[in-house]
Amino acid sequence: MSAPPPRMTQTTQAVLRALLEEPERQLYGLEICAATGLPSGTVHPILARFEALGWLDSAWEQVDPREQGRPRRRYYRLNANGISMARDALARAYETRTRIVGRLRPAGEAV
Amino acid sequence: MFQVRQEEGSAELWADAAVHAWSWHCHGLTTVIGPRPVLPARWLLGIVVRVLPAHARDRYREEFRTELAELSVPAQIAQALSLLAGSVALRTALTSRELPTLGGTRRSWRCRLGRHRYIGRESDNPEMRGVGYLQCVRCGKRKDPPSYGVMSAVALGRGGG
Repeated sequence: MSAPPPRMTQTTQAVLRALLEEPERQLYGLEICAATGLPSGTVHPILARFEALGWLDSAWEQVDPREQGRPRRRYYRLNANGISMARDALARAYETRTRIVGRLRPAGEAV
Repeated sequence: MFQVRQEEGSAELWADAAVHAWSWHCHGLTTVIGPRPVLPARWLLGIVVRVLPAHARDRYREEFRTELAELSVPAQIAQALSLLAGSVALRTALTSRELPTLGGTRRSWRCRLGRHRYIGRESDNPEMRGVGYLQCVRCGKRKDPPSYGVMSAVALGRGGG
């Protein structure tokens, strides 16, 4: 049995949007934090959940730390399944938000 | 003082960071090259890592240390505190990976408060024809209909509560 889809909170959506901006590009934690404006403590649990769902692949950077003069980073990237699932999830979240906002608007007001 | 490293024009930032750069040990096994986080950040990180499941500790220790080392000192402390605040959520995310079925579907808040929306259903058992039951349309909870008296509109689901 597969894991249930994650709750699409605003922070979850922000992380997905950052990862979907350039899906073929690998990002490490700080880059995702910078792109979303969220702290590491919020971003990493979300990344871990997407990894658990199989949407996200992560791998250590293939560099020689001595040459780079810094320790290696852990890079994240959405896989093919993750890209389509993330797009669907964001579209559903957008529909839900639109529906709720539509209900809250006074009758007769243009959407 | 460390600065947030940018891909462009990183030379001067790293020249600054290089003053503090040295080889350091990660969990006593691997020698990691480069700047390391300041002591309070490392101390906070030690707590964060202890909260995580044992199998994930080495990975996140190295990952978080790498990230912290690329920040300025105040940012290191702020990020380490943020990681500490998010450590339980991260632990939950990592633990649910091992038990993916435990997540389950989310119950409506109204059902959690006992405000089910029951509708009358016909029993599948042919011997029980005519004897129905009530089932909540949101969470699927079953309930026997009252054995006597008139079933209320709310109980039948027309009240929406």
